[in-house]
Amino acid sequence: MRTLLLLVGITMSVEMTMAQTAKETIARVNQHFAKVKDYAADIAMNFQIPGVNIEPISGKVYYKTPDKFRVKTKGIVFLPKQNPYYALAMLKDTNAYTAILSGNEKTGNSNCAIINVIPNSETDLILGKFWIDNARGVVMKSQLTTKSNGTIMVENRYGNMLTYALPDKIVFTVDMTKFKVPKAVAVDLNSKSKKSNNESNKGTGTIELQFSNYALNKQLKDEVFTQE
Amino acid sequence: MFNLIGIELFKIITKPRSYLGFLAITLIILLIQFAFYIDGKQYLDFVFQSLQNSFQIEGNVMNGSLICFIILQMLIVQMPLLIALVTGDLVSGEAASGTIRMLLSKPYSRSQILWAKYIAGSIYTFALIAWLGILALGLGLLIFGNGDLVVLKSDELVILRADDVLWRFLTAFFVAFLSLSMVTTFSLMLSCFTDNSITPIVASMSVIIIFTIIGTLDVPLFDKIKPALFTTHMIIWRNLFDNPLPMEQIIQSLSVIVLHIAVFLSIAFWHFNRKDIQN
Amino acid sequence: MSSSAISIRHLSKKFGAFSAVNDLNLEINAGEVFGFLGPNGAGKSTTLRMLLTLIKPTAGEIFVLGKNLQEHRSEILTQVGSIIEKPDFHLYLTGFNNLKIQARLCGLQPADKQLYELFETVGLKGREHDKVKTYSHGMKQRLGLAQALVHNPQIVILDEPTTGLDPQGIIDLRLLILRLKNEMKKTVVLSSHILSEMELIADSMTIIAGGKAVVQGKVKELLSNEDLIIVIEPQNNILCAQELQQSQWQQRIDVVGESTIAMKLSKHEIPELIKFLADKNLGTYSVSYKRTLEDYFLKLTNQPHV
Repeated sequence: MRTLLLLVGITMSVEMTMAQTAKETIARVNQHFAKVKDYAADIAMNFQIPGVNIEPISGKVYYKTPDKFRVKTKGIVFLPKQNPYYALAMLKDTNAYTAILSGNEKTGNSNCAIINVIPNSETDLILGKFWIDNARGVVMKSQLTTKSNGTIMVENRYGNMLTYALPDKIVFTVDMTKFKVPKAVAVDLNSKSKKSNNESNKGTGTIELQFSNYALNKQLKDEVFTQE
Repeated sequence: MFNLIGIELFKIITKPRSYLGFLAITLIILLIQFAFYIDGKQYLDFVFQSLQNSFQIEGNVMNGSLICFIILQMLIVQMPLLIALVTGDLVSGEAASGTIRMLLSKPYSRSQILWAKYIAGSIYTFALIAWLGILALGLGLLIFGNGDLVVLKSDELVILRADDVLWRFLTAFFVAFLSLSMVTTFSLMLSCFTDNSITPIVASMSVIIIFTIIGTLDVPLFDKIKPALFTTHMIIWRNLFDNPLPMEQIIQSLSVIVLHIAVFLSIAFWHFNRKDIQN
Repeated sequence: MSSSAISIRHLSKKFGAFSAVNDLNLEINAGEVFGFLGPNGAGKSTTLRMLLTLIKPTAGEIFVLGKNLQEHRSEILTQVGSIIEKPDFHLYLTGFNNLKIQARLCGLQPADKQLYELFETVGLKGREHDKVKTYSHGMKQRLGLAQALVHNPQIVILDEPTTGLDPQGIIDLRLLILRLKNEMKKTVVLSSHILSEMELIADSMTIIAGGKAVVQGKVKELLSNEDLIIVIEPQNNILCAQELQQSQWQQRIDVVGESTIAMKLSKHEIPELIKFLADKNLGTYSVSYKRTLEDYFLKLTNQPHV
């Protein structure tokens, strides 16, 4: 009996410690990110979407806390349905979710803690999984499972703006079915139908956002995010 | 020669039938533009339905370039018919009305006369294409604005940046003109063989329709003959909107088109020069 | 001695096995009105078309104004104006624009005034700017004449030019042809199947049948001694017939009808007959004759004198 109580006690204390560790890790992330009220930056976008042949494009990107995000380009762009700061904004409110440290993993050159985040209330997010660099306190990778859009994988690469937890590059990987133009509007009469040349990408679409020339905390107006 | 071309153009300009093509093109384009102005968003939602489940698409998708591309796509099938209506009548119409006797008893050689008719027919074809361009692209850009072009290919969606589109349209119009010149020469050739204006027009239309149907049918038997059909190469303008450009296919089709033009013209000249005017 | 305007040598045209023109030889003198006669299908139109390069000869040569037609086609055709078969125009254009086109096809840029004058000459004044589709057949024929003359050619070829013309139109055309010959010194080639028409205006003629020349020569010489059927329409048919029966004309009576009397005479005997009727005080409404190509042709074929 004493042994059993001891085991339960140890387990609970380990769980509490892990939860404690997860919250601390997340707190470090939030601490970094709290320095950013808004920013504007140059952005270069690259797309790998099955069934869509689209050239890279560059433009401007704007962010304002908590989760206003806007990309402005002269052309057509594909963006993930959730903006890149959706998860980080969610992490800010530590009472809104339960965070559990579920292990460690090496991601690139970083030793990362893997933290699972489960919302405490009914939200679009079902489960969030974050790979957080233990040393630098930044999110290296996140995997969000949502009700509306399936699973979205977000990978971050950092450079000069590491102190603000602002990545130089974000890569989104989105689950999708290969896009097909409906036959009713398809146009290739007589053409030799091409076989898909991108079999490896079948089923997932990738969007790369390359950031540069960050201008931080310039008190961006809300209109920036609403203007056409 | 310029004198002759001027006369032939004058005949075309003053013939009411010549305006049917312009009228039809104007009506169809305005109709399509109106429909897209009213219901275009629904159309695009339908096209992008599956993509919109995973992505948010930003930018002016419904723009003048897209509307122009859709119009080209729809109209280019009808254009040969409108062109044959005029070019199929160039020689046989004169034979049917009897004016060919007066024409061929004038000091110009038959080759000069046929060249003049061919050039005038080509100018008409060019004018029709130019009108299509002005209305479809010019008016389209005015109404719907500029933007990246979304090419709705059957196997993929190609998005071309706005600054990469204009030269493609201009080249496409030129290539479409070459393709339609093939129809011009084909109907002109038939026109040299008959003495009534209906036969070459109907024959040209029939051949184009039959070849297009064969080209569209996914039957293995037809796959072998498709490259030999001139209609297969008439849609090569569309390849200019692919990325990267399928240069080999474009050059191959253009060569076939030029070859067809040369063959049709040679037959037309050969027959016209030795034809006895008996009617 | 007149120079040759058109010289046709051993001209033949075959359409498959059918020989439309067979070894035809013709000489047409400059400044004359030449009648080219023959029944339908005789080869008249085919010959004229070969003259205008509309049909290529199977054999033979054509010389126009001393030059070989095949070698100097363009040069020769600037000197030839024609109406072949019937004048056809672009119906959706006005007569004026049609004429302008024809002038430009001859390499001319005529002033509007010249074209208006030509419309007046052919009797179409006031209808210049009406579309040709509103013209009657006779009006088209007149416009055809205008286009044949628009470039002031030396040779005018008119294929059945009186077809569709009203009586006044026919008279006007005759006068115009005579004017072309006498005042403007043009060579006129007329094709017809009506011999009496030729008799009035042609200087020389050729009759062809089956693609071959049946008779050639000066019109006056060819027709002067031929028997004609003269039709007298007297006031009193019976009295007139009795008088003729009792006169030197007795043998020449052919048929006595209810109101007319037909007689067989030579053309030069007609004035004498009229004098006889006047002397006998036989009131006469008319004395007329008609000679059809068929009659003449049938007669010719019975006399192998060609």
